[in-house]
Amino acid sequence: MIRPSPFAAVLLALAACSGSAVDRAPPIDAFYFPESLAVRHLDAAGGDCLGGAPGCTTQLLVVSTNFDLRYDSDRGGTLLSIAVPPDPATRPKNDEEAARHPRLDVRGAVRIGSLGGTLALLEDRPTVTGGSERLCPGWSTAADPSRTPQALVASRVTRRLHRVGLRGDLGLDCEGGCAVSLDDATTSADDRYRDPYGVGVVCRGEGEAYRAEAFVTFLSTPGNAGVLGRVSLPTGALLSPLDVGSDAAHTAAYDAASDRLFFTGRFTGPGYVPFRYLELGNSRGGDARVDARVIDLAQQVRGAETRGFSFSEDRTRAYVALRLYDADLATRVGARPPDVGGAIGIIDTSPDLFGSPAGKVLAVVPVGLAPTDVKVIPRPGRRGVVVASCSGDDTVWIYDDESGALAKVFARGDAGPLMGSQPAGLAVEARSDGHFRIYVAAFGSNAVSAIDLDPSAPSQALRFMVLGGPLP
Amino acid sequence: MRRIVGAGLGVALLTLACSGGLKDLGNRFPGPGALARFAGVLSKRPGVLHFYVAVTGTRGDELRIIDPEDDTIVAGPGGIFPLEVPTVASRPTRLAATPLEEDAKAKAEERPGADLLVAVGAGSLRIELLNTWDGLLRVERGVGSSVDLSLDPAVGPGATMTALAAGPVPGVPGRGRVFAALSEGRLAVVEFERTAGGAIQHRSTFVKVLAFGALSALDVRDIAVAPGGGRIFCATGDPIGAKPDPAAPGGPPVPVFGVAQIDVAANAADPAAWIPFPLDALAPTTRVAAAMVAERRWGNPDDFEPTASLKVYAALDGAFCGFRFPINCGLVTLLPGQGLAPDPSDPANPSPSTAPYRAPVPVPGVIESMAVVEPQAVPAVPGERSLVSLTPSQPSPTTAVLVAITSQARLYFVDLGRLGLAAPVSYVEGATRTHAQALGYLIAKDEGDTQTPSAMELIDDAAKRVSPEDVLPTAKAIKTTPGFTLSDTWTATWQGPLPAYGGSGAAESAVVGKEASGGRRWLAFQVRSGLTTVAGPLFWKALVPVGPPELGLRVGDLVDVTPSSSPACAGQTTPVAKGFRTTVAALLPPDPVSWPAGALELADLGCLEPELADGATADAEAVVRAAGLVLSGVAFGYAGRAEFVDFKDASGNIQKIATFDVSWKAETGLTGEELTIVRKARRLEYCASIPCDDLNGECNPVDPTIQPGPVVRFRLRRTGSVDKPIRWGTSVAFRTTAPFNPMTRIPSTGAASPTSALAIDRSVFKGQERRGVHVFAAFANDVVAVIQQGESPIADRVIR
Repeated sequence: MIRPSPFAAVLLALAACSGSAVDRAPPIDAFYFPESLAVRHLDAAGGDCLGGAPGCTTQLLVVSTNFDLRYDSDRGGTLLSIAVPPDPATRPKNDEEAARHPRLDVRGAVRIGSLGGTLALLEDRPTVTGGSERLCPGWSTAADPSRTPQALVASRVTRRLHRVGLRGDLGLDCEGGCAVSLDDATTSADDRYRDPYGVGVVCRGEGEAYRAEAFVTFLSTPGNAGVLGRVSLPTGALLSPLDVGSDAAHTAAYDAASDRLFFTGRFTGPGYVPFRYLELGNSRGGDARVDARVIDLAQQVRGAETRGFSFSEDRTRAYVALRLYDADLATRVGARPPDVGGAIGIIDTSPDLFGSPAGKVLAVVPVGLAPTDVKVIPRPGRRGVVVASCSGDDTVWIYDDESGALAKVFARGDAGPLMGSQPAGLAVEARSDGHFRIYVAAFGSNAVSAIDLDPSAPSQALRFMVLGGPLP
Repeated sequence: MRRIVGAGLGVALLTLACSGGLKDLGNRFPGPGALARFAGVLSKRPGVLHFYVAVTGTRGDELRIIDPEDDTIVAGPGGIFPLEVPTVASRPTRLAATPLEEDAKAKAEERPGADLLVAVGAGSLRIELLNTWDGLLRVERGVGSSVDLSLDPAVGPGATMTALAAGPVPGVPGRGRVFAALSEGRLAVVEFERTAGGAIQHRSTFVKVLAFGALSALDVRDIAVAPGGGRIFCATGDPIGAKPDPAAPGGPPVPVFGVAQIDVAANAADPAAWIPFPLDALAPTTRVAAAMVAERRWGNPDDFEPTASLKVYAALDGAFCGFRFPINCGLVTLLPGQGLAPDPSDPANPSPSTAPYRAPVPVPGVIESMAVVEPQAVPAVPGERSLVSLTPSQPSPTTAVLVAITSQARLYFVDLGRLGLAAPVSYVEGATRTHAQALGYLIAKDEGDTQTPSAMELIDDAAKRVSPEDVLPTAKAIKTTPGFTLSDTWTATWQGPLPAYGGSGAAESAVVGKEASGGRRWLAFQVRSGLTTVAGPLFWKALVPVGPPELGLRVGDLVDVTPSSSPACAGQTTPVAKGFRTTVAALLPPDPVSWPAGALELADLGCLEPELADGATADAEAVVRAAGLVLSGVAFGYAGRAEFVDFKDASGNIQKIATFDVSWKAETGLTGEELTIVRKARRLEYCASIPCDDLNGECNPVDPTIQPGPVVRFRLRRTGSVDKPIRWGTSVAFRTTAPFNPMTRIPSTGAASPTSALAIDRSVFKGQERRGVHVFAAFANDVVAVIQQGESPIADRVIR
């Protein structure tokens, strides 16, 4: 979710009142208010490989939101598949500007509903950040020919979950519209859950017990109830939604090690900062029995709203983007006041006596305004490097959790390739040279910035390339 | 480039004219971060050395300056807008300042020259020297000024700065040092000196690796410089030594965690010779402060030591403290050259509950920054001892206060003189005293049972029955201790449920099974998961582990099992409806295939026995009950068990009495359940309060504010026919009340995330000798609040 601005609100209103946007197709050779992204590695045969290795292509998948609804609201968003160009260092010296701002190598494009949310991948592959974790165990054509790789993204306008096929040649497939309606047919229009945003993919079990489900958060619900929509991925069927408490959910992610689905929440009132999780796996009666549990951060962090999050590689820590507001002012006015700061909350998720996440806030690391997404770069034997995008002040913060110190801040206007405004979604990939790349969706600049980071020297992280634009 | 349009200028001028001060311009700080006090010559007072406060603007790539004498923002050259001192690195987040003389005078004008002031940007390794001496505050850019550590071969560009502090060089007037902690355990010592012309310039840089013997280098998280600059103290998460394992004498040593002390006065000119000394804090540390503090003496919280001595205060790493670790979380007190400060209880009246170290102060939230408020340098009343009194709600003046900035977006005040959190209420007298109050007796009976049941009752020291409605006798019969007892609801139950196994309300999901070939009957708190791993199927997902001693499970305990579907059990009514009661025959260790978090071997499967085939399992819900009398608190959790033993009263009659004593005692040598309960019974705080418990109509002869005692201690007597067993579920409940309401402060304009605090002694300003020490606190909502002595919590001032 990006910070609202009066200008954007006017644009939205104009777009809503105008019929001229109805049939306009969005560009498929450029980003337009990119919100979220994901990275894959493909060798010549479409198999897995290590980013930067010879013959390995880095595929960047970018969701453009059509935020101002300039294009068709129902199909004005896009999912683009980009082949990331080689490192600038490997390109001719006389082509420096082109290397820093290369042409978009679009290999596939699919129109989706406007205001797309987070992007999730559905395939049985290792994550591109290294380690032994796999994205969706069991989701492969070897197990079932119908289980082809897909990208999942929900549209807040159409309230549909798009399931876009990912081809081995970096192309995209969208046969039959490739979308599942998230509207429960049994509820009236007034009672429907609106603004589906986050998608968490859960793949578990095997054989007859195999389950692959997409859990979708809704930002707007009647009474601000916490609801997770569910889609059975093998069948495409909409399952009954789950009531997860009194607070609308925002971003969801599955932790296979603990078999829990964690999710953050939106503001419902001061004094409550929920970081919740579902205990999956209680399969009585043939269906998942879920139990939403709450880690209330308010005891240790007053006045915070949670957004994107990631886990440490050993799953003992969660790094949660916290948008800080004045809790006392919120109490007085009975509403969410503007942000006054941002932080990464480091939460102890190691098991307590009962096997539950301990939930203790270990540190609150100040970052820029309106932190939106958080990613962790793992380091063997050491705590990871944490990256946070802050859309409120156009910054990206890099924090070294081993030394407990801030390592680097990228700001709009710094020297080097421009980063663009309103950094939103992040994606991280491990490279064959031991470095990592961080891709930053610059929502306000229609671009994606790339940052190179040596995990042994995070303060030397370097922004080296911008994809898309133009940058205002 | 600032663009001033006519209308805006007019409004600004009008505002200025009407307010008379820049603090009212509404020109907020751009993300105030670090604060530092320095003596310097600025354009506001040309040629005059004066104290100022530098404030980093983390969103503005600049510093702004406050004049603490009148709480105004120092104006820039145009006199309209605040002075903005741009930094080379963007987003300055660290500041350090120091006089260049260890015995610098309290008043700025009596110092020989301006102070050293440096700033460092976020993620930068460049120590930027601020010109504080020639009237034009700016970053020095010439040769011999700022120091870029990334260019130092011993550092390199890949390092990260983790802490920054500064202090004078002991014994060398005119020199000061900046200590910059870097990643990979490096400490950069950057020395500056005052020139003959009064300027300050870089003198030398030395980079050393901080390590204890063969241990890996320390990553320093925070640095505190002792007054005078003779010692520095480094908070770290890394081991700072090794010591014998108290739990396994003769075994391999265990690492020492705490604070590294470095004596920088010895071998002052040779940082390579500095050897760190470990201060064992029993846990890794995250923040550290050092100050000269005179503490209270035993017997009277208002009786302070005549002279102050150096103390070190360190915040413990929340991941490695608490009742599962050797020390509780909070702020510990360390003595230089020694380690944890001792418990201050009466040395002439030793108690087994006296801990070998002083309990950490339980500051709420995560401590992000600290500042120590010491007494004003110039006595308000000549000849009288200066004390610190921050607000009227603080009980009484003290010798020093530590202001803790925490993740709770508030300031907390630790009364260092009295060893605890400053609180507006008393723990030992009046309605807010620490005390217990009985809630009631529950006498359980089986349906249709008309006989007088056997039960139990609370008795006092004279073995007299205490009725729940008797408030005062109840408080005397149930011993509590200020600083140990928290507000909680307690229940002593005959065959009561264990809190972890269904005792908190609902029964736990479980699976019961029978091993193949007529083997063991078992129950595990787990469900079918459907999970798979690379190692093979992982069929069960554990809910509650069996075996951790903290949970109190024992062989012989009762297990109430309700199968999910069992025709044979459907007709059962007692003791378990639609189920059966059995006992724990053994505790089975975890088995990755059958019960990944352990299981209970059951004596039998009751009504389920004929239905369950060998090797089969069945879903169920279960509750584990203690075999006898058990005590639990809603917050405390499992608190142990007691047995009724024969006791001959004054009349020669035999009574059956059970005693619960939840008290701390030495942890060395303890294991399992006992160790856990003892750790939960540690002292939680020292009460900076009035030492007389007048509720009971008597003054305690010992000092109740720091004398140790039990969390709860009481006795129960069996009533009715002692030959008839007590019916399960019979209980005595009571509530303990103890205020935990530490004093906090936020700006009257609203608060969000304090970032740093700084103590400013106003007595050094002419005519302000009675104004004492004020606290400047920066908040993320672009304001700096000033909290001064004697003000109410909402009467502070805000500079913006």
